[in-house]
Amino acid sequence: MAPTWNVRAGRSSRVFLNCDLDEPLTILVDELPARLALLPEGDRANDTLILVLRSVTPWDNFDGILDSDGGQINYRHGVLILGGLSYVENLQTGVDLGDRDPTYFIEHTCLSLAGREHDRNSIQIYLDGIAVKKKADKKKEDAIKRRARKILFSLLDETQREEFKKKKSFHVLGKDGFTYLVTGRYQHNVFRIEDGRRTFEYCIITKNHVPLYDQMLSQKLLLESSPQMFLNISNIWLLTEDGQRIPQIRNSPINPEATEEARSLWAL
Amino acid sequence: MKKIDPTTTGSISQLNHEGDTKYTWDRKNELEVQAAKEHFDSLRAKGFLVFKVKFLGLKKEAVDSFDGNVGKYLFTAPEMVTEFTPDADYVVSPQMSGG
Repeated sequence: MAPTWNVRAGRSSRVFLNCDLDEPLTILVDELPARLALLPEGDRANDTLILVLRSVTPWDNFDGILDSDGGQINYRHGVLILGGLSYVENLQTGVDLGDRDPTYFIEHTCLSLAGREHDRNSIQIYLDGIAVKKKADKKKEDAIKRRARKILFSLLDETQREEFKKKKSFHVLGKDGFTYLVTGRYQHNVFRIEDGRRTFEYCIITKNHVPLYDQMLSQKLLLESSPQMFLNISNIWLLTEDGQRIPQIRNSPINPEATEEARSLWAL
Repeated sequence: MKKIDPTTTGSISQLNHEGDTKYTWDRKNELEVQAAKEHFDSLRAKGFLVFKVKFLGLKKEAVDSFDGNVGKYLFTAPEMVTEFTPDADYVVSPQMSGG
């Protein structure tokens, strides 16, 4: 069965297809599905680079000849990189694969390369495309992060802002009178603070993905306006004095009685 | 970018994957207020959590909230609301679940 193509942006994988000097390139069309099947499904990204190589050394010695690290491809004597074409978003090269079977893709690559022995150009274009894409993604991510930080800061008081700048976390006075600590992580990031120590750990997340600072803001707003809802939704762990979780009250909606019961049960 | 005057402009900041999307209206313009109410109601109907807030980041709010007697800014706690009032500002969050 031909592998299914999992379109997933933001990550690049490489498939190396090797062909000896005296073999026709088109035999690689048959080899591709098996090669792709070896990749973990999540690694079959839409920007997977399929490199077609012609080897002048036996395949068994292939490892170590070609190094691939951080987008740089170094090839040594013994392997000729004939070409590599891939779909790169917003770059007019390669083949727009979409959801099609990659066999079509490699066939196109092989046929277009037939008869050519040196073609670094397409690889360079690919690498340039990836670099441009990464830069653009980073710029966009930074802008999103800045926006999220801005709205969070507009709802933190001066003390909380200073604390956030230093520790990426801030304390919140809940409407229930308890002090909570919201820390800069996506999960398991809210704690109740009593007598200067963490007594409960809460895990509560937004159902749709939002930047981290937005999620911290949602948690803060909920604690300040409706802590009971916060507690009802959260998964909760009671913490021992040395910060160990006691799992027994996980997933239990918590109320003052349950809290006291748990405390007494664990002699806290 | 056009500067927003918080004294005359209301806002709904909807938290989303891009940070937030801001919807604004002129508090004195009835048509805009009506449209804002409809937007507010549609967000509520979709299950979003809506908080009425005071943006301390805005200069005016910061000045208003400074209490000279205690020498600090007094924080106005947010409220989770179901009814729209044009004079307020809102932050809208996706629903939350246990992680």
